[in-house]
Amino acid sequence: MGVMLRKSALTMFMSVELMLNAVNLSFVAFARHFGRLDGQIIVFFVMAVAAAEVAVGLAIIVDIFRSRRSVDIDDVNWLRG
Amino acid sequence: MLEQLWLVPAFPLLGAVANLAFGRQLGRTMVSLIAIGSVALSFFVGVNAVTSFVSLSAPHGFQLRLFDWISWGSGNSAVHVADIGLLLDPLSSVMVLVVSGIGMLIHMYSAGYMADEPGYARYFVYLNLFTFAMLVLVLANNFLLMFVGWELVGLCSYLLIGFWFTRPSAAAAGKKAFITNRIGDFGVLIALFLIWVHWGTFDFFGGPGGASTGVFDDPGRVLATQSVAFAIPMLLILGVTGKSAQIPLFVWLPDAMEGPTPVSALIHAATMVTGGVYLVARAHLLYDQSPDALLTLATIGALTAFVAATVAIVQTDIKRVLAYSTVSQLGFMVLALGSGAYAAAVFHLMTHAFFKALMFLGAGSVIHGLHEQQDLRRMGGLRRYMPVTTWTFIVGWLAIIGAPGLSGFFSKDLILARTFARGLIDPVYLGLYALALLTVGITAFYMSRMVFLAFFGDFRGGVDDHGHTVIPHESPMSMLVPLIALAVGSIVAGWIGVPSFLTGGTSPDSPIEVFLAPAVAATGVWEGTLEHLTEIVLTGLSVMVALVGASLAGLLYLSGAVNPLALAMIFRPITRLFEARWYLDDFYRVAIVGNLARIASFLASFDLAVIGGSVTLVVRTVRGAGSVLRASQAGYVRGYAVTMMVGAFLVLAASWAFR
Repeated sequence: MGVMLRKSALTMFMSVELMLNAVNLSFVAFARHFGRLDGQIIVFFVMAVAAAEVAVGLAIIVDIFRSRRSVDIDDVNWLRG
Repeated sequence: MLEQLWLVPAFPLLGAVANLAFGRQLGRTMVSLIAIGSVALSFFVGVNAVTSFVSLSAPHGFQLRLFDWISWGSGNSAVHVADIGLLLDPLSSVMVLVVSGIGMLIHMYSAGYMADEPGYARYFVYLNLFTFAMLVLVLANNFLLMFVGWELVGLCSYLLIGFWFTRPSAAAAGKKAFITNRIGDFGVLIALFLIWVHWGTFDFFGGPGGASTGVFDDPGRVLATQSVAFAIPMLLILGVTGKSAQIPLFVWLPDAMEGPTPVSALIHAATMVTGGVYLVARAHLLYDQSPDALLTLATIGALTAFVAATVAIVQTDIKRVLAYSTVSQLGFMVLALGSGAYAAAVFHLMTHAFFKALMFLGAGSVIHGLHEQQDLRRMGGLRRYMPVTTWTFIVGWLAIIGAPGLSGFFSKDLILARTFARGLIDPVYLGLYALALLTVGITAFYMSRMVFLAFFGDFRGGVDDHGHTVIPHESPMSMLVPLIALAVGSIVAGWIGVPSFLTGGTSPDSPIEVFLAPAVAATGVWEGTLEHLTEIVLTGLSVMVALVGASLAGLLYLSGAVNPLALAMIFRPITRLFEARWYLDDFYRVAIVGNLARIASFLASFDLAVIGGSVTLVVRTVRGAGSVLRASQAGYVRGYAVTMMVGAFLVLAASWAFR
């Protein structure tokens, strides 16, 4: 809901991170419940990818802010068809 | 000097290139010097080459192969199509001298005539290019190179007719000339294909020592297939009717008078239009094998001579009279060709080049002196204002009507005598002879009419269309010198064709025929000979007919004994036929141009509706789809996020529904 409703790109980004962490949590919980290891391993992968994604995503947001002086996501519509 | 033969066409080409590249910077004097000089050099080299050729006495002529033009393969599979090569024989000797000699005089004349025109350099570029092309046409040693010249002269003709391209009538006339000629060229092209198929070479003659054979070394090769032996000459005749303005394709020549007058003199009277005559004379060995093709040619010639002469009677534009006269005289040449008297045709070609160029340049001088007035009804009495033009013009007039002693007399009577001689064997030719004799009378009539209207009587053009007073004046020296030179030529050019029995010789042929014999002597045996007495009687007959024609014109237009307008009213249906040019133009307009235009407009609407429509349909489809789809690409990131979520739910729902 945060992704869909917030105007700030930064908040949207944080929402995405929250969703990733929620999924991580459920992975760990289910892994514990079923007594298996693969869920925990997936979490490591997710965390690694999320870290990379944060780096790229923040860089994009900083760049958008530089060129537009705002991070309002509705201003970023240059690709409109 | 024979090895330098290639310089003959090279000089005018060089002149054209020089003026094309630097003409704008050079100024008028330099431009005309380059143009005249290049043709003069060409003439000089040509004269030298011809004199050394004559002393060489090679029967089939001298061949100069410059370099390989089209060939492929190697070793035994090598196919050699054509050289760039030149052939100097009696026939091309005459043509080279006529083209470069008269071309030089007309270049000189043009310098005076065009002095005040814009596009001076462009004019001389075209004129030089034409001279080059015409020399290639007559000097080529194979059909293919000749065809290149043939097409190039057509192009130059188009460019020069449309020289004043801002005038719609000039642009239209150029287009008409070009398109009409294309029809003829089509025939020549097909004939060339047939020649290639049956001979495997385009060369006129083989190389020295029998290394290769040319078409004319073995003309009988197609006799086995009669249809081809007939088709090739007939297809070439189509080209002749186009280039040499014969029935049915002569309609372009009178319109070609839209070009500058020196152009009319050089291209549309003296040289280019004789290309067809040259072609037949060159390919005469193929014609000798096909009497039917020859008869067709003779009939076309006689009919053209007659029809064009009748139309010339009623023309009021001085240049148009001369144009129809040219068509008529070309008809005489074609009649001679059709009678197998190729030498007579080439002889008449030469004399005609002199006197018709003379008269065109004289007409140009008149037009110049009257400030662009071409209407005969607005002339009159010019002999008092323009003595040199008048006297030279009178020489041309006497030459064309066949006054004894002048050039036209000998050449025209040679044609008539040869046609008559052929008639003794094939009676059809007697009819053609009668028609030609009648045409001699008509020629004398319309020519005298023109001369009397323009130069005698009282001046009738005192005030022009804009209300200015016109005082005729004589033309500058640069225009008068060529006139005088051509007048001398018109008198003496015929003397090489004096029948030898008059000069005490023993040969039945005149010197020009003897000279041309190695190149164009008919190989058929049917060329009859005449008793000297018959020949003299025939000559007397034609002179009398001409005299009657001229005196009739005198009665009508000089002494005023009979009112020409009243006479025209009596013969109203006939004069109307003449004025409408035998309805040939109208026939073409209705039957061919009209139908073509209908087909074209149908095709245009088809193009617009079906082909253009289908393209429009594609465009509309794409655009419509885009306008629907573009809504999804709004550029709002949250919109995409929602779409993604909805999609994810749909996938989940689907995987649940079809599990």
